[in-house]
Amino acid sequence: MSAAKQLKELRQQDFDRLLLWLDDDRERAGILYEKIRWRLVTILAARGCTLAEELADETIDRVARRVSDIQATFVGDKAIYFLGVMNNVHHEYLRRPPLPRLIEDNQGLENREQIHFCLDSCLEQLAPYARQLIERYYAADRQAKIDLRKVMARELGIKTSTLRLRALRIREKLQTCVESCLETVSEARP
Amino acid sequence: MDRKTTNNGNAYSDETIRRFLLGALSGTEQASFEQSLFTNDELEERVRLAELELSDDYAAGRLSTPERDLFEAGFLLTADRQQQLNVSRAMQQTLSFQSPARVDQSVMARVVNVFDLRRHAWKYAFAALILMLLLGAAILVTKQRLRITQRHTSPTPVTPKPSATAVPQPAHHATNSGSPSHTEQPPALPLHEGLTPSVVLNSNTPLEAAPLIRTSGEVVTIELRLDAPLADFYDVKVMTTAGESVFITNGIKRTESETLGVSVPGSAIESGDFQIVLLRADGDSQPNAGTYFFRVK
Repeated sequence: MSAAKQLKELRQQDFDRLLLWLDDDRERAGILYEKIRWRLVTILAARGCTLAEELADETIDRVARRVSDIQATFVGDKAIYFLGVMNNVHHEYLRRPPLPRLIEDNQGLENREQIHFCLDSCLEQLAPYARQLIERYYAADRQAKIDLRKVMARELGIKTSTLRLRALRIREKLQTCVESCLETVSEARP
Repeated sequence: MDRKTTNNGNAYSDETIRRFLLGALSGTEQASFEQSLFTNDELEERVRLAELELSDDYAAGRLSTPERDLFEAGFLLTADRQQQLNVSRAMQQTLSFQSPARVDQSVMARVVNVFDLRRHAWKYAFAALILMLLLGAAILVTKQRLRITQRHTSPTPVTPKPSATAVPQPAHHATNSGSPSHTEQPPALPLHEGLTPSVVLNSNTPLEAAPLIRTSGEVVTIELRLDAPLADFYDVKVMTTAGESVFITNGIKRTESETLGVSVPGSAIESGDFQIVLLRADGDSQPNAGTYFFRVK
């Protein structure tokens, strides 16, 4: 067995062990894993780290490798454990010489077209109520937008803060839908 | 709008969440916020939504100058956030051009939105339409060529035209001068669309085929062709097809030609669809003698 293959298998074993440590139910463990990763990335980005995603993955890798040692004795919030490891990883990153920041231009014409296509498609998939709400919430500009949102909240008999949450939840669904659509489009390409 | 949540004694406003996302919290605030983010699901949801809102606000040009600078310097650090901003821009282009009036809840607004040519779906539809037109034109040209080719390769048989004979032939014309009798009957005139104040009606003509009368005069003369068994006298009731009686006349004597002449005042039948209910008035046979339809313009 090659060294690379051994390493890959080892990582898969570590990862499976990590999921089991997070939760006995593999589906719930998967959701928890995604949440932890998102939190790590968000915190690292808020610290101004230009490699937030890489460092989050490095953090998870380190925890996964340590699970076999700690799982029998660990007490406390497992998610917090990740935060501690992440702090170490981040300190190491800060000691490295700064790398030039690569800005990926993923806003090419084709990508823009695909995003618009997917957005239209996702808007079509929304329930009529949700679609109407998001269209009105994002309509108009500046003061007109603020006024419109007040009118909408009054019409719905809710506070503007509740309206904001409702609209943003629909916006979140749209984001997920568009990303999923873009993946499908790119997979369908030869 | 500003909302607060409590977690381990700490409260975070929407403004604090926004500052966290822009990397603008102080060291102490940052550490506390990070700890809470890892343990508070509600805070996590608010941060997720605020992240999207921040991206939308940037795309819409709603951030203040310091916020915009922080956003550009420190927010777009992950691929996910860059993709969020791409979607925010697309939403800004797709949705924000609409004025409040245009996104009113009315059906009209929805229809206008669907038919908005700026929608990308229309671009694809137009592209498909152009392709279809090109394909259609190609098929037509091919068919036309095929037709021309067929004309040239397989001529249709033509009956030879009669030509003048070189030798005169005896003509067998009839010697008598009487012409043959013409048996063809002139075509029957259509019963409907007779724009005349005088009309002949049959009882078996349905309303759809009933004659049309133009009431230009004071009186419309209607001649009813009678069905057997005949009576000497008839009662006539003129009604709308809805059953409203507009004119009644009793005891009218039939003619020798088995018809009945009825004069109806033009004012009683100004326009619409009408029926005449005919009743035998001699009491000897079945009273109902038929229903006649006509229309008035």
